[in-house]
This record gives sequence, structure tokens and C-alpha cells, in this order.
Amino acid sequence: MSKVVIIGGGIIGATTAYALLGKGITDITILERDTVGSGGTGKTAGIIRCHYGVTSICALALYSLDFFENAKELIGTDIEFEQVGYLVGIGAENLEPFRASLANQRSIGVETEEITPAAAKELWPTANVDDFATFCLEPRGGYGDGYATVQGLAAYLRTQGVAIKQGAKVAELIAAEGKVSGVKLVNGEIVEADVVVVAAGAWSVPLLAPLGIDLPITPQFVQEVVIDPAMELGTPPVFSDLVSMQYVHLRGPELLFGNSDGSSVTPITDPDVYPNHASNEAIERTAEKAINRFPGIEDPGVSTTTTGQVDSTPDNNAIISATDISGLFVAAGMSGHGFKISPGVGRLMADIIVEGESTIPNVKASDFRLSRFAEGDLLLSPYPYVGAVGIR
Amino acid sequence: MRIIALVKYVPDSGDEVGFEADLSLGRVGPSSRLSELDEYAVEQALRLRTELAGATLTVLSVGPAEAESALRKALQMGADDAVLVTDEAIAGSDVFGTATVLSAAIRSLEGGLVVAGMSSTDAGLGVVPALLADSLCWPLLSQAAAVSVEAGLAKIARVDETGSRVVEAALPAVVSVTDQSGEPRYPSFKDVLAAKKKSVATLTLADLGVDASAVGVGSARVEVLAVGRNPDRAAGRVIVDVDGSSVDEIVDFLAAATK
Ligand SMILES: Cc1cc2nc3c(=O)[nH]c(=O)nc-3n(C[C@H](O)[C@H](O)[C@H](O)COP(=O)(O)OP(=O)(O)OC[C@H]3O[C@@H](n4cnc5c(N)ncnc54)[C@H](O)[C@@H]3O)c2cc1C
Repeated sequence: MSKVVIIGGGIIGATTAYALLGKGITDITILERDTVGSGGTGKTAGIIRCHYGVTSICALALYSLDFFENAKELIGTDIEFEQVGYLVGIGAENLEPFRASLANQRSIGVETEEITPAAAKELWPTANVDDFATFCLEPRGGYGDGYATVQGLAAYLRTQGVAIKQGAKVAELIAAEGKVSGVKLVNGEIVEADVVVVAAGAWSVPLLAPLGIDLPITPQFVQEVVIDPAMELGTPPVFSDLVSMQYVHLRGPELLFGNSDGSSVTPITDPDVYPNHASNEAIERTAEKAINRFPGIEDPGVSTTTTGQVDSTPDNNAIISATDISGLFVAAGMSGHGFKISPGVGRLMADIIVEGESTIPNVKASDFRLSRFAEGDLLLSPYPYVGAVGIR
Repeated sequence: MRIIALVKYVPDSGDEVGFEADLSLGRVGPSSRLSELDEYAVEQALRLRTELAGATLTVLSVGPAEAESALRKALQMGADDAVLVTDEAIAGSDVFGTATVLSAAIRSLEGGLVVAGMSSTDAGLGVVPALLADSLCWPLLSQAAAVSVEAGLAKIARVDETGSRVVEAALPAVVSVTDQSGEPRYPSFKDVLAAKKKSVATLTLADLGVDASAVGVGSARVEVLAVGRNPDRAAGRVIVDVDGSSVDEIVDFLAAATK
């Protein structure tokens, strides 16, 4: 039976192991350089939705919802999924791609309906909705907790015999004659394997480069601002505001604000070196947008800021792929939206390893192949939104 | 009256400590920021500004150009204006040099009350307020857990291991406040937007009439001879419990350790 090593104890490494177990593969070792969830997964805003223009990604998100909704039965722990719904508001300039995307989403089974600004106002009474042309509401969306989810999964994986080694940093992959045979840790220890899955986000790049595999992943610094609204807001849906280009959701009694126009995202050279707090300018931008959008929140203040790093590819979509080296696979480059699709990504990675093709309805494995960048055949939404980062 | 809060731009405690070629502490790390201990000074100064009729609050920093972001943060908290003294010649100054520059700036700004933090979070010497008071010939009320101002008198409560005492001095005075003085506020969005319209004034040594030879690495009385890393801590000892045996072992260990 094959021996699998997964590099990276983030949500993608964990869901890949979970899906492999589902296929009867049990000899699995996850190698994590630090602790489970210490990478992007522990910092995620955790927004969950299926609102995607690319059919394969929309289908990955839809597949993933089943896991988020049923995690308690599936893995025995509560992963703190707050299913408050997902609301998108757009301006007139985006009506056409918006309606085309909704039709496509519905055609593969996503529950989403167009609602009027007046109906949206009932969900978010503190918001000004006058400058939106229309909205849609996805009742199965919401937000999760990346850390709780990956910890819950890790606990379950251990009960199923998966070895999770923390503090185990991989120094290099071992391959010869076009075939992988294991990995070497920084302490010199060698872990043998028939199959190696690299699920180490932006850190995957230097692991694959010595083998001549060029992953087009750039680490990017992202900043979010947490706001104390100083008032009770109820449980409104996650709000993707594609007029002001921001996303907002409750986190406990506070509101988390992120920027969707790309201006708060900047490329960095080292994925481990970035500020641990948002810049004054990012705080100013958030304050301006938030005050304009939410006049009903009278005296909001900055409670804290969070920052993180995302692993972006040129088309802002994941690489879930075999490589030219036999036994070596990659699931990385989630480009800042990997949490909501992670159960699907893990399953697709396991499909590619075992079956060589996708077994998820409406998901084409070839869409996520690594070679698409060299071929110039990028995975882009047929319904792009004006002004927003291409992750919808 | 002009209240002046002193703020320092420092590396974050999570940043790797770096040193310049002259062995002075690097100030610009990936997460450099307004020193957390100085946020307490800004908080107390903001409160006093509100309490005292006609008072304004200026935040003052001596540092590299990047220190502007620490001043901007203080403006977002609600300070009225900000002054950065920056000059190549200041680089490598010791505490005496820093106090010389600060006192010249405070004189030129005509400050009536200076509020400082208890110490910086990087070098951590905690002597600048005293040197500054000396240089200004003003009284010093240091390590205040509480501060109030009434009828031209500043009054503080200083709490230390020997007890608590109340000290007062006539203004103008230098006060340093501890992290017991009251949690710094969150910036409100209104203050954040108001801060956007404010500018940070930049002054050089020439503007202040300070002779460049009086400050900087050349005139520093403190000389850094070497810097080194602390040795890694040895691995701890694991005590394994067998039916309660660990209690005696832990007691023995503590008894030996405290001898
Ligand atoms: C601030 C922020 C907000 C986000 N918001 C959302 C959102 O709302 N919705 C959404 O869907 N997604 C969101 N994302 C993206 C999502 O969190 C990520 O795409 C996802 O968590 C990536 O998981 P991962 O397992 O690929 O990467 P990671 O969680 O980064 O895991 C990679 C792991 O590999 C380990 N590793 C690295 N090098 C080595 C090595 N040499 N040896 C061993 N281990 C190694 C790392 O320590 C790390 O734990 C957000 C991300 C951030 C940072």
C-alpha cells in the first residue's frame, strides 16, 4: 500500500489527508514545520460562500459546504461554522456579470437568490444601501473558524492513525529518475514515501524549485481591521460590498473589515516577514469606507487589526495538480480564498492521486493543473466584476 | 497650555532584534510601531487635554523618517498635532543626546507639561524623562500610576514595592506614567478621519538651534562595545508522575531552587 507524506499542516494538508482516508489510504504522515494551523489557516477571515464565476471553483465550494455543515457528525467536533448567510451587493456597472454568474451558480445547485436593496436593508439596518443596484443572498454561506476547523480535523485524523508531526520542517524533497521517494527534514531525518503532496502555501515554492518545478506563487501581505461597533448588531449575514469594495462580518461582538479592491494587498519577498499590524493608511481607508457604508453605527472604533500572508497565483486560483515527477503532487497557491473550498480541494487532490481525475460533480481537474500558467491558459471567471479582485 | 506627549518609534517585541553597523539598536523592523508603553503617555495626555480648559496636545518624537507612522498613530488616537525631529546627525545618540534634542524641541514648542512613558520597549533604560527634566530645569514626577493637574500643580500617585505615595510639583513639569495609569483608548473612526487631515511637522537640529556636535554617535557618552545573543536555554526537566510520586520530586526541586 502506498505511503503518503503531506507537507504542511494547514487546512489543505488536513483536508487532503481526510479525503485520502475516505479512499482507504491510511499510511499518511503530515509534516508541519511549526504547529497545526500556524500558517494562513490560523489567520483566515473564514468567509464561506459559493459565489464564484468559475464553475469548477463554485462546485468545489458547494461540495465543501456539506463538510462545514456536517462536521460535527463527520469528525466529531464543532468547527464553529456560523451559517449567517452571505450577502453580495453590486452597482449598476456589474449587473450583467452578476446575473450571469448567479444563473451559472444555480445551474449547478447553489442556493442563491436576488433580493432588493430594501430587503438587504432589513438584514443590515445600519447600512446605507442607496448606491446598490441589487443584492443576492446565499443562505448556506457564513463564516467559519480556520483554527478550530484545522484543529478539529487534526484531532480526527490522529484517531484514524494519521501521523501528524509538528516542528518537522522539510528541507528538501528526495527524487531520482523522475520519481519521488521521500523528504528530508532540517534535522537530517529522512521520511520515505511513495507519494508526496506539497501543501505548504507560498513556502511550497522553494521546496519544488530545486527539482526544476517553477510554482508561480507570490506571497502577498493582507491587512484587516477589527471594529468595535459599540452597539448590538444582531446576526447579520456576511456582507460583500462590491460598490465600496469591502467585506464585513461579525466576529463575536466585533466586526471584521477587509478590502476587496486589492489596495490592501501588497507583494512581499519573504512569506515570513511582514508587519503584524495594519498600516495607518489601511486603517484610514477602512474608516472612510465603513463610515460611508454604515451610517447607522454611530461611533465605531478600531479595536485591533490583523494581518496575514496569502499565496497568490497569476490567475488568483489554486494549483491542485500532479507534476512531471512521478508521485509528487501540489495543492498550493490558494490565493487568499482557500478556506471555503478546502474540503473540495482535499478531495480533488485525493482524486487526482488515486483516480487521476475529479470525482466531484462539475469540477474539472484539468482546470487546476500547474501547466496552465506556462500554456497561458489561465483559470479566469467568464463573468468578471469591474473593480474587484478576481476571486469571485 | 500645550501638553507634549513623547513617543518613540520602536521595533515590535515580536520582531527579530537587529543592530546597526555602529551596534546601536535597529529601529525599523517589519512591525515597527508606536512604543506600547508610550500609548499610556498619549492616553493620559489626551485625558488631561480634555480636562484642562484651553489645553492642546502635541505629540513629539525624535527618530528616523519612518517614525512618522508612530506620530500618525498618536494623531489617530486624538492628538492635535505632531512634531518629528529627524536629522542624520542624531543617529547613534545616547540618552543624553536624545534628552538634549527633546528639551530643545520642548522649549521651542513652549510646552507646559510633558508626559512620557515609563521606558522605551526597545532599549528600556527609562532615564530619558529624568535627563530631560534636568535639562529643562523642570521638576520630575516619575512612574505615575495616576496623574492629575489642578491650579498649576501636577499631582501623581507613584506605586512601588514599598507602597504608594502622592507627589506634586508646580508646572511646567515632566511626568512619566506607567502601564498602570489606564488602558490606552482605541482610535474612533471620527478621530482616524480627523487625523488624516493633520500633518506631521518635521524639524531638524538646525531648526532647533542644536549644535550637531552635541548629539549623535560622536558625542555619546555611552559606547556599545559588543552585542551578543543570550545562550539558548537548556532543555527543561520532565518529571513523570507515578501514583503521586511527582509531588515530592517537585517539592525537592523547588526547595533546591530557592535555597
Ligand atoms: C487574513 C486572511 C484572510 C483570509 N480570509 C479568507 C476567507 O474569508 N475565506 C477563505 O476561503 N479564505 C480566506 N483566506 C485564505 C485561507 O485562509 C487560505 O487559503 C488557507 O488557509 C490556506 O491553507 P493552506 O493549508 O494552503 O496554507 P497554510 O495554512 O499556510 O498551511 C501551510 C503550512 O505549511 C507549513 N510549512 C511551510 N513550509 C514548510 C516546510 N518546509 N515543512 C513543513 N511544513 C511547512 C506552514 O507552517 C503552514 O502551517 C484568508 C487568508 C488570510 C491570511
